[in-house]
Amino acid sequence: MSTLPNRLNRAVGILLWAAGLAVGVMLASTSTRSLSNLAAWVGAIAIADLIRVPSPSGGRISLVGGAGLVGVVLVESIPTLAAVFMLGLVVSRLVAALWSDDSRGSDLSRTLAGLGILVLVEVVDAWMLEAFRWDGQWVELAVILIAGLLWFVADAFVRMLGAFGLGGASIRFIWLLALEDWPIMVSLFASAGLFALAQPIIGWWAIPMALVPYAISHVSFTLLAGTRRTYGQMIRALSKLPEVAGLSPEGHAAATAMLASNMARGMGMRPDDVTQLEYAALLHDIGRITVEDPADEPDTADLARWGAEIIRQAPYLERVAGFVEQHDAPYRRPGEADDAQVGIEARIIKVAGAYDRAHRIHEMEPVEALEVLHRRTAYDYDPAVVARLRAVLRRSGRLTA
Amino acid sequence: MNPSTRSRGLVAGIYGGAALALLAVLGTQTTFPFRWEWLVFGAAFGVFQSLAVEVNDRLLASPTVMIVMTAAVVFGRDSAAIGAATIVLFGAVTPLDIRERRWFQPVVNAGQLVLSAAIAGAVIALALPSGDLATADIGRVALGAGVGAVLYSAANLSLVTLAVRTVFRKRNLKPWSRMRSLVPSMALMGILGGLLGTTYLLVGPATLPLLFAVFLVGHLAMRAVSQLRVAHESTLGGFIKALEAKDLYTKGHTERVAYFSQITAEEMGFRGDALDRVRVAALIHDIGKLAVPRTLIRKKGPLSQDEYSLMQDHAHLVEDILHEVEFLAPMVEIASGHHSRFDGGGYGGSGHRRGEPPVLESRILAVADAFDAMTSTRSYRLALTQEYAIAELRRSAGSQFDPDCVEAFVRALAATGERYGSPSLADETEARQRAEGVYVA
Repeated sequence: MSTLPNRLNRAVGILLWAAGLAVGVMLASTSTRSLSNLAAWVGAIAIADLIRVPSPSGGRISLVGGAGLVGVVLVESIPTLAAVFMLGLVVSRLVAALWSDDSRGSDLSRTLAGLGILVLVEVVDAWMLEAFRWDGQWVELAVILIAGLLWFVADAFVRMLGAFGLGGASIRFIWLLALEDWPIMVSLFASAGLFALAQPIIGWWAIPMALVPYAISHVSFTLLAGTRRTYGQMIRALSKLPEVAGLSPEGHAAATAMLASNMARGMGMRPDDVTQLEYAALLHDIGRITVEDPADEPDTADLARWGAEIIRQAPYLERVAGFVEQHDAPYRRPGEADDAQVGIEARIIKVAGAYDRAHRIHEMEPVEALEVLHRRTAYDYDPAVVARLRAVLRRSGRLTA
Repeated sequence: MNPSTRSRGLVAGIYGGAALALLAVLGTQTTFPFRWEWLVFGAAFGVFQSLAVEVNDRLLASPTVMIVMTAAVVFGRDSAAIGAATIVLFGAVTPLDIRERRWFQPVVNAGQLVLSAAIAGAVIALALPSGDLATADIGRVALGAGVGAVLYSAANLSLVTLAVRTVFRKRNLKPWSRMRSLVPSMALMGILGGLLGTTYLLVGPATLPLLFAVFLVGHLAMRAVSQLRVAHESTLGGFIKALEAKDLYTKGHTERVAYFSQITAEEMGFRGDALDRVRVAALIHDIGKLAVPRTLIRKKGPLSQDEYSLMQDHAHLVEDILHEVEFLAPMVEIASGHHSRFDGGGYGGSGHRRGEPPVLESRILAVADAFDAMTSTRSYRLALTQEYAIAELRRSAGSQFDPDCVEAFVRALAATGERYGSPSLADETEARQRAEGVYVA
């Protein structure tokens, strides 16, 4: 089902890639390098672009930055560098299209930003060499570090622009999320730098020398992403226990977590804090598992405390247990302006949980449920958090007013 | 003086003395590398040693062995052995040793590290040319470093095991089965270390910061992985423990079944990830019960047909939920087969294969579960004695239980010397009467 804007998008994309191909071929024809040498560079960049490593931020990062960096050091001429870089990307895009794997092959804006950085660094490098006769391994090392840093910042910046306005996450959140990928960038650029420094001197030994360390960290990152994912899955599975036992409405934990994390992203919380909050929201009702009989309706403060007790048995969930323990508390008490003891995470869970309960058990319309929360903003629900919930509901289309 | 203190003194004396003697010989016969790289490599060794993680997977060796090999190459033919043997001293004392004012661990550690590193350094010295290094020598040096790294790890592992066995009297430590699986990764790290050393000599010191950056980042990620894996199990275990605590009769059941399954599996040759799988499967084997209304679980006497099927339904529901957790999927299958009989009868979820015995892990779990059920007090009867429980397991071997698993469990339990169940015969008679009373009803 391709709608018109979709088709337009595709057409523009194809045109841009065709332009890239044409410019690439034109630039390559001016190069003094042999055809097979150029082809090897294009192939290396295409392969690097097709390999992806799962990143801490939850995305997948292509290795093209590393290959580009090697190019900056080893390819002296700017037109040649630009040519092999663009042709490499065209090839990788074609291969990805043939595999019909859209997750591979870089997106245009990010790689163009990257190309700009590469050319900039190459220009500065050449200028330093001309003006000051600066050369040698330490200068190369400085070039590698600067190029890596610029690439990383530019990439994060482009990602921030690209994700702006999507899903209601704040700019701060997206920027912090992009910065979480620094370990991958460090190992990618350091390995590329190692290769670029060593290859002219030790020849092809540089391949195992630089690739094996990178491969080890690649495997580590892949394992880390997988382990993180399954940890989240496990928390999710445990959160369903009270629901399976008929002690909590089905889907309540997941819906509360979804609302809470959307609210937190919109508020610009740190990505790591958002994850902890999500776990706490998933587990906020786990205390119900201790209830003997589904007909009982125990005190909610007790439930929060029992839940925290259960979660505390898991050594890595101390903060999560704290959020769950607090989530039943009022955000202010009579005579106070605000209870600073009750953290923002607890307030978010309280609001998200109450909204979903009203909506799910009492079958209220979103507007109705929201009004119930509004009426109790004196003590129970922080008005700022309720306003955030309203924004999330509106963005998801559940609230039209 | 108790025997443990005496054996500690003996082991520390021998290890420390041997290391000192070796260093003295190397100090007089070879040249100490007085250069700034010695400090850098020593510091790096110390840092990575303190970040070391215990992991079961093969690939994940600590980069310390690589640092030793790189340093030995950089120090050159005359200083490789003594250089390698001295930088490892940076990693001998851990912050924990200082906090707890321990003397035994640092001395033994220093001793075994010096001896292992000296061997590795000597191999490198043999592989290095006498004059300046050339590109043509890279292959030979890398190969030597691979061999040196394997020897280093072998010496390291056997010296540590020897010390632990002597002092803590742990006879069941079997280092060599682990060593075999570690050889490829050790050789790889060694070859890499050799390559990096030659690169350093031929290209220059600008390679060092890049190198440490790659390894530090990779190692930190690996550390996070192993911490998260521990978190997985402890989160699961913690939840189950907390939930069990609400139900007096099954308290501790899961943990004991996990323990019995583990020692049986170990006795049957399970190692590493396969062993972890059995233990985690045992942890979750009863999680279905957590979602069953409490009134059913605590009910005295037999369940009605409806109640019984309700209980089974819940077990299936939980199995469905846990199946969504990728890493748990194989364990869920093992766990769901633990009520299957060896002759193919019984019941269970995805792990139950009608007419066929369930997988080996499920059979181990079945024995462990039955043993704990018999040796602990339940709502309908008192605990039986260990002898009675074992006799009962043997009686049902071949029909309900896998005979191999039963015998492996009995051997493993005997090796631990621990005892479970009621201590006296009077209790047992009473318990048997109670048990039979319930079975008749």
